[in-house]
Amino acid sequence: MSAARHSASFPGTIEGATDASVWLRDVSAREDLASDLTFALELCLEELFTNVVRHGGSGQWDEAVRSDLPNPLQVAVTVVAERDLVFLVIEDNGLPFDVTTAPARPIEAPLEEVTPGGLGLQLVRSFSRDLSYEAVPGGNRVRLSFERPQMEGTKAVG
Amino acid sequence: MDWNVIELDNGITLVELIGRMDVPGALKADPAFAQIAGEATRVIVDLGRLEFLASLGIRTLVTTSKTLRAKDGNLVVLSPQPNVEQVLRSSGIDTIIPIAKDRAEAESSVLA
Repeated sequence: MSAARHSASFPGTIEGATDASVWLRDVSAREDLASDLTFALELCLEELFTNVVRHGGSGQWDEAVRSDLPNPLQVAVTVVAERDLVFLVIEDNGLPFDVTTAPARPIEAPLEEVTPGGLGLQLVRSFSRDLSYEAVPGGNRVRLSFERPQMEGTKAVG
Repeated sequence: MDWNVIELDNGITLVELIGRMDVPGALKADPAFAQIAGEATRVIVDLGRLEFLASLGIRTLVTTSKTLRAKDGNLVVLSPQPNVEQVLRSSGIDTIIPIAKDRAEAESSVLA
């Protein structure tokens, strides 16, 4: 069984995240993926991409560290559609960031104390089948898989 | 991303979200929600026609809810589509922002 593979690269910016979403929806339409699966793919892509934008090149790092950064920040997105599974691979050239060990926080505190950071990773874990991280030379690679419901019949949403 | 703001007779502000609360959607809606949080007290956000929600949009809802609570107001979301409801429940936001199934439940919840 051959797998269809789609790849594209985007600047690591908010605009890049928006363009990547549009690209993903186009891939999903071409692969005839179910709407629930498309929703899950797009949700995970948006959370992980904006995470790279937020943490990959700036923010909590001082100037000495930032001067060593690869520039500009780029995010490569690959979708591999197999018969029963779909893989989403997100690679960036930003600072090392292991999403599998970063804290994912569902909201539990009273509303007045809530600061809704960390929700994105919680959603990624909830909407994907599995999540793996690999530090690669000069960057990060995150690989997610999703079950691909067969188009005959409707998928039960749990 | 689009929205309608309707002032109901009982002092409730109904905000109907239409489209996708993705990155551009959330950035577009943020100023409107900031204004609503400043002017309204009891707010129902109708999610029936919202097709996409991620953590950026959740942040908008939580921020608005906190501002309303600080002045003894309240925010309730109404009839989310299944995927959007799963986002709300997976993130745990349903424990702090009530999810109502219909308009009557939303009104009694937001007035409570």
